[in-house]
This record gives sequence, structure tokens and C-alpha cells, in this order.
Amino acid sequence: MLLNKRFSDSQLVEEIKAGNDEALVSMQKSYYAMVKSFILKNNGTEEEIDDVLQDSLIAVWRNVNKPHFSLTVKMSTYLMAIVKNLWFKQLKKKTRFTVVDESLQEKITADDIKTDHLDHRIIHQMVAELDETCKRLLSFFYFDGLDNKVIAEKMGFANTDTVKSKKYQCFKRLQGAVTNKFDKEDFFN
Amino acid sequence: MDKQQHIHELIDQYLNGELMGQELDKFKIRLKEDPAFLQQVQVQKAIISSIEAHRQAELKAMLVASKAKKRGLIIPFGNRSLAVAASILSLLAFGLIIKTMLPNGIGELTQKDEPVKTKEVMVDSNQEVDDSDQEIADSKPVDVADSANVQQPPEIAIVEDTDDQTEGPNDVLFESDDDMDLSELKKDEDEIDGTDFKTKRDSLLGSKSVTLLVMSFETAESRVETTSKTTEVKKEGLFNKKSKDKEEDDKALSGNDAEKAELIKAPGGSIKVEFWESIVKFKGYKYDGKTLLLFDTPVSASIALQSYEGVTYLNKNGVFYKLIPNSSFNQMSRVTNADLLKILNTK
Repeated sequence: MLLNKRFSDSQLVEEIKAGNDEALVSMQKSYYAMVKSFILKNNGTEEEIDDVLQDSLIAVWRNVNKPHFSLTVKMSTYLMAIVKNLWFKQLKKKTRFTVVDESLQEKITADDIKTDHLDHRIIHQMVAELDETCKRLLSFFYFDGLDNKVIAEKMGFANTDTVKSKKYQCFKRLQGAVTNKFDKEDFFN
Repeated sequence: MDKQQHIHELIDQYLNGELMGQELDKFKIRLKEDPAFLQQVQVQKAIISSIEAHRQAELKAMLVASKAKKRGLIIPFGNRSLAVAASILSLLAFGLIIKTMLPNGIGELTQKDEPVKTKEVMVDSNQEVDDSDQEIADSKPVDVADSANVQQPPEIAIVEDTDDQTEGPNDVLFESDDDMDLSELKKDEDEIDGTDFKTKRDSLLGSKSVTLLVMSFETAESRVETTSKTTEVKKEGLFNKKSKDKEEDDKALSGNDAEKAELIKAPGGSIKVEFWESIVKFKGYKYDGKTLLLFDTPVSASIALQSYEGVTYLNKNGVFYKLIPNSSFNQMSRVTNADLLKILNTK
């Protein structure tokens, strides 16, 4: 079982690129002590360690899947750089006494496209209610950033064209539901 | 691919920042001029955000679940060697309790469990002891197995009894509680109290006194201050005229040296360093500011102590470790900060 296996850095990158989320579990186990030490030394508490480590691991996951990613330092160094950034951002937030819901933060920086007027909770709910195949397919494409070829292999599709077509069908269904849910006014105010 | 699918992928590319040149310009113009198109882009962006948030939550839940599973297996000790030590101590404590409750150990339990059989055995084994004694007198060792064969004993206890009888000192096992030898009891108590009880403990290999070198940066300002003070003292004395050399020194101070701070090393008292060998192979230290206990470090190791910005550092065979005052025991924490190492390594 992968859970008990220790990966080398290059193996970790390969496993993440292949969409094997157990690589994250392995990393969580391997780097916990290191992150704990850092958080506790920097005004953090035991309760905050898991949160920071998990968010950082997810960031690593997304970055590794980006095109042209190449790990030029040790994985531990790379992870720690992300942990530090995340933690110092959190400390800043703490001092400003502002609460920001990360899940509602815009991930795509197409600045001129504002979506704040749309109720994201409703859209979250619609995504959650999507059938498993569509959910997996859209997640692989948009979150994991997996290549269409990898998605085809993982989901047992014949080729990349099938992936594109299926992905479009799934998205269209979701888009239709969202558009129906919101009034025209929601878009033009 | 139909037109709508093409537009969908175009929006994907735009949101991903992959749209370039003329295509991007055309896209932006359409965004301004076509409200329906803007609405489609908005919805697509919002949906993608939600898909990402959903997957992120899913991964996080998976990590939380794996952590929760692991939590059940955590040994409540930060150090495995401590866990081993705790196990050994538990076993020792258990042994001591048994020894306290039953001065003659498990043998008594055997006797109490099967008193009748033991009595029978006694008769048989006594006869055998006589034979054995004879054999001992003839300088021939007792063959327990042979004697067991002769007697055809059904119980294992017979073999044990023969052994005990041959060895002698456990005769008390076969006597009633009332006849128990009090001196034997006293001896057992002494052993438990620790008079004769021997157990393996951490051992002190040696100790020495090491001078703590306090390192600090003397800034230009403080040196200028020191220099002016010196000058004032000289004015009061015989040489009240500033010499040419002194002027040059002052110039030098206000020039190059003012920009740099000089690292000063001064002795700051001595620290007693004790070298210990741990039975659980603990590799760490205990430090209270005056005494440093080093485990798994040979007495012959090259040791130096330095203090910088209020923190004490141990230089062990050229490797620096940060010493954090503690009342229990700490693992060695190696200094890896390059800037700090540069300062600590300054001669």
C-alpha cells in the first residue's frame, strides 16, 4: 500500500502528476514534524498545523500539475516555502482581524470578469450534486490541471477528443442549471 | 466541434491567461459589446471557481481522514527511545511488585497451586537428592534427565524440584509460611530498597568546565564613544594634546569603520559539561544555563560553547547546535542558517 511507502522527490512528482492523491497522504506524514516545528516557533498553535500543512500540500499538488513545472529544489524545501508564505499571510490576516473565506476567493485572475454578485454557495451546491463522472472529469481538468491524455487514461476514455467532448457536455449541463438559477439582473447590475 | 464548444474552450483559454494577440483583442472587444457573452464568461468563471473549491475540499477531507486514522497509532512519546525506556521501566516495576508480593517468586505460586503434588514430589526427590549427594561426593554431576527417567515422573515439577534440591538454597520453598526464614525476607527487602538491587542506569563518563564565549557586534557608534572617552582621559593626564596618529585613527573610525560593526568575543563564565552514556541510547542534552549534560557524546569530543544574541550554541567537533535551556531533555538541534554559521565560525 502506498500509504506506508516513502517516496523519493521525483517519485512524488510523478505520483502527483498521475493524480495519485495518496502521494499527498505520504507527504503529510513525512513533513508533519517539520511543519509543526515551524508553526509552533512562529506563534502558531497545534490546531493550526494541520490546516496549514494541508493547504500547502494542496498548493503543491496544483503547482506540480501545472505545465512546465520542474522541481529544482528538494520537495521539503519547496513545501516549506509554500508553508511559510501561507503562514505569514495568515498571520497578517490575524493581525488585521479580517476573516476571509478562502473557498470563495477568486482563483482565476481575469480581473475584468467580476463574479462577486453571483451566490457562490448555490454554484458549490450544484457542483456537489453533479454525477461522479462529471465531477471527476471537471476536477481533473480545472483543479488538477491534468493533461487530456492523462484524463483519458485515468477515466478509461478512448482518446483526448472524447475527454474534450465529455467535459463540454458536463460543463454545459452545469452552466444551464446555473444560468436558470440566477436572474438576468444578477448578471447586469 | 460545434461553435458553442469552441467558444467554451476559448473562454477557458482566456480565464487561464492563455489567449494572446489578436484573439485576445477580439475577445475583449466582444466582452464589452456583447452582454450575453459577458454573462457566459461570468458563469463559466464562477463554475470553475466552484469546481476548484469542491476538489480542494475533497482533498482536504481525504488528508484529514488519513490524519485521523494515523492519530490512533501515535505513541505518546516524542522519542522512540523514551518509549523503549518506559517499557523497560514498566517491566522492572512489574517485576518488583511481583517480588514484593511473593518473596520467593513464581516458585511459591507453583507450590500453592499444587501443594499435594509437591509433597509427593518431595519424597521422591529427597530420595533422589540423597543419590545425587552421593554422586556429588563422587565428583560426578547430577544428570537431571536421567534421574527423571528413573523416577518416571508425570509432572514437570519433579525436574524443577530436583534442580532446586541440588542447588540447595531454595529449600525454604518446601517449608510452610510459618517457618519462613526472616533473614531471607530481610535480604529481599534490602534488594528491593536498592541496597543490593542492581539495574542498568545512565552512567557519567566524565565532565569538564568549558568557558562560554559571548559574541556581540560592537557598532561604530559605541567605538567612537569609547575612543572619545579615552581621549578625555588622556586630556586630563600628561598628554593633553592630540597626537597626529590619534587624529588619523579618528578619521579612520568616522570613515570605513563607521559603516561596519566588529564582532567581539569575550569570556562569559564557565559551564560545567557532563558526558553521559544513556541506556536507551538517547542522543540529546539537558541544559539549565550552568550545567550541560551531553548524551552520546564521547569525553574526547572537541567541545566549545558560544553565546550570540542571548542564545547559547554548542560547537561539537566543528558542528554547531543550538542549546535551548530545558528542565527535561532535548534533541540536538543543528544550526543550518548560513548567516548565523558565518558569525559563529568567526575566529
